[in-house]
Amino acid sequence: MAYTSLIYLVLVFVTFCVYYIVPERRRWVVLLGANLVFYISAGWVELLLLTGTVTGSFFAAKAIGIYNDRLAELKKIPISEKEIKKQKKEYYSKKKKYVLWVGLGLVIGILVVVKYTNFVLGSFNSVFGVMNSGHRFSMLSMVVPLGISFYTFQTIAYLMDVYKGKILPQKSFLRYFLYISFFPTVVQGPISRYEQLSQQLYSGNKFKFENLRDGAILILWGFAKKLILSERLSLFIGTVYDNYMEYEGLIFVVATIMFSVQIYADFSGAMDIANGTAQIFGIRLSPNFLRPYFSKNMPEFWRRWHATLGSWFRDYVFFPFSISKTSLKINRLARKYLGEGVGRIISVSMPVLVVWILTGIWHGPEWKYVAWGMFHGILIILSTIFTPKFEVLGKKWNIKTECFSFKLYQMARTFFLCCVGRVFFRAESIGAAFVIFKRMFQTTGLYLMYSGRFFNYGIDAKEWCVVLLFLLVWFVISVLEEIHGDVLKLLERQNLIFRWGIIYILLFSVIIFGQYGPGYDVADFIYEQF
Amino acid sequence: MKKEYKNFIGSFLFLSGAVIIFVCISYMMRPVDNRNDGMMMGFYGEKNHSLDVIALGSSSVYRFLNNPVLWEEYGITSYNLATGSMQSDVYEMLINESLKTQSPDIILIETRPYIQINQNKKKEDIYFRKASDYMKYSWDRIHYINEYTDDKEKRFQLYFDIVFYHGLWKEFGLGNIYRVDNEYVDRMKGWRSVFESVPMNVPKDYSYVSEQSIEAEKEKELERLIEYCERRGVEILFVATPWEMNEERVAQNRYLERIITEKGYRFLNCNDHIDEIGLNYATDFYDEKHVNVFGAEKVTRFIGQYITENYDMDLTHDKSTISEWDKVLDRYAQEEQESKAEKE
Repeated sequence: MAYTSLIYLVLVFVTFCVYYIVPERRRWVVLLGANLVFYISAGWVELLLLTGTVTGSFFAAKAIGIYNDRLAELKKIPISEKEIKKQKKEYYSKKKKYVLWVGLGLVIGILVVVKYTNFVLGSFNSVFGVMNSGHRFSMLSMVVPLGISFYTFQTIAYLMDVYKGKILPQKSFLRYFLYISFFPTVVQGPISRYEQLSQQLYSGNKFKFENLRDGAILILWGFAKKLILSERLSLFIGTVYDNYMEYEGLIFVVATIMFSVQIYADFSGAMDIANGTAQIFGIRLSPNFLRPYFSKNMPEFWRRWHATLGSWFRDYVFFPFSISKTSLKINRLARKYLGEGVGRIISVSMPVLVVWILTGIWHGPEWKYVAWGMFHGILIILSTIFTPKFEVLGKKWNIKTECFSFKLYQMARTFFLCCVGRVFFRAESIGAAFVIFKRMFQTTGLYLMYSGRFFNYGIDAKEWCVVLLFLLVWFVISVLEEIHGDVLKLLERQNLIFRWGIIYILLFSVIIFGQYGPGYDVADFIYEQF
Repeated sequence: MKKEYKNFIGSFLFLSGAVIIFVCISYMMRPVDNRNDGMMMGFYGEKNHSLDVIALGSSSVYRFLNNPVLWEEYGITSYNLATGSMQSDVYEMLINESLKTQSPDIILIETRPYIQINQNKKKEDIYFRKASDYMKYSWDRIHYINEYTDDKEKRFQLYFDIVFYHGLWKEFGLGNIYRVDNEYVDRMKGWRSVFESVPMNVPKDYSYVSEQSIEAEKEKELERLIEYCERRGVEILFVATPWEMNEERVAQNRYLERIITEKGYRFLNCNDHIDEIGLNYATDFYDEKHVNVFGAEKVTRFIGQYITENYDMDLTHDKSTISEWDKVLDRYAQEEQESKAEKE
């Protein structure tokens, strides 16, 4: 069930009606029912795998909770029994850790098996090919459940938070199932933390007109991004990138910039639909996009782009890895044998590289995503190393860093670097990405842009006008959000005619300029495939 | 006023506005090929209760029944509610729709769709769409769409034709804005003339041919239509306009004639009256299925004569209707002159 389909809107409408009719304490059951309908529409096997992940993590968390309780009870043991207390603490801690690993092993195992088995087998086959070995693994036919990467990460976060004692394990299996499978977020996130989302799901929210209105506008805005911009640009980008041997020069620059726009429109559009849907039920999700193309450096970009994934990696990979015994040992050895400077670089770089290789793999079982992840990891390491040096140079050369022009330069630089990475992301393989880089610069390829030829690459002149106009409107909205915060609040303060006019224009722009209808299959959201 | 009531009224007004704008935009986005589509829009543009005859059918109507000539010769106001390759499954829907604004003395039904079977055409929605997509939104329209198909997705696309046509925004022009109410004035009342002339073979003598039944599904459609017209108290005249005949077509026309007359209705098979009409196969056709403007004048006179002789019609019209139809006649005369000048 695609988020941009009519059937999805029908599901939201029916769920909305039923949700506010039933008593507050039973409203979570309505959401659970909607989740089941949504997920069953994807397939029964998918539902079975989702249930496997939910069941495994639920009981693991419950067991961890029991050990947490026992550890807490140890505090009541008198100080005279210190030795017994210590022994019991060690025993319970060990058991708790063991259960955590079993739980993590199960949920990560399901993810790895269904999503990465063929990737591993394919990689082995490539190695066999290089070695001229006749051995080959045959690929397996796997069902990859909808949003498995997202809900698995949510499950991992839950288990680790229960382990750390940050949250108490959920007692009700169905309530836990609701949290993991909440239908607006299960496919593409945002990756919601239990402490942030669970109570909103279970409490049975009161009807507020503002929630319905703002939620509906957000959904509409998401539809506009997807159907007017992303779908339209995909025709142009597909034409160039899927036939990259036929093009050269500037057209790749335009296609890559437009891909950066498309993926932003696509993913943030999906998030708007998810946020809007949740808001209708009085639920606020964590923001996933904070106008990332206004970022002045790569670390900032990754705090603004897919923010919930970034914070997930920070909390559940970066920090645990940085303080792990293995990491500390490597750091000590590096400092000892390679010197303080190099050792410090290694201690900074290692967790970053681990995080970014995993981020790359998370996006998909392909080496191009690993290359994309490493590219970003290296950029962030370089940024960490050189930023202090550039700051010193800047001061020495009296460069004003607080003025608009310098910030604009920083934004352009970040966008440029981001676009370089996008080539790996969009190209069909790492090899293709390098060919594209080569063809991009071997000639200007201006002839491909002249004599109206440019308007034959998937979208014509009038379609480009729609694209540029939409971009202009989106840019103005983004600037307003940067200055004033929530643009919906700003709209609320305007006169009724203006407010309604804006919403009508948005609604009918989607109906008229949206890419949908017979003979046109709206593509899946890009991040839905991850 | 309580905030809840205020919000409720506000929402109601907002949604009402959205519905109105949606309907207007849907109408404006509908494509009109003035050659043979969108005649329903032109029909809506007719003054209410001003038509004596409404003719339903495909190009077998709009190339044959010359409405200006029918007015000039017999004082009959008529409209060709016809689209290219129209199928008989839309007849009831169109009659129902036309009776909302008109009270014609006769509804003329061209019978070619009952014998011209084309399996591909039956499967393609385009022939249904040519009628339904130009109708104003109404419960009746939804009812007939539901009868047409059980496919829910298809129904949705037929209810909201903008799903189909929104991609035509690139061709949007001033002409579209004028169709905001799904109406325009059809300058020729649904008549479309062709001045070109292509010689045709004189048909063989098929007087020996006996009856051959039409397709069972088509016969059911015909029976249902007659029942519907009886229910609505509508006078109907079935007409078969002249075209290239073969044994099968002649035999099926014979069958049609019998079952229609048995039900107490008239069936005028022009193919049996070629000499009376005065059709000349060397000059009066432009292809094997259609007459040109010269042939159409002859066919129209023949049909007009038949109607006035067999039906008791009140042909008095108010001044504005007379004035409007005289203008149509002037336009037709001008069209004829221009065509002649073009040829010379």
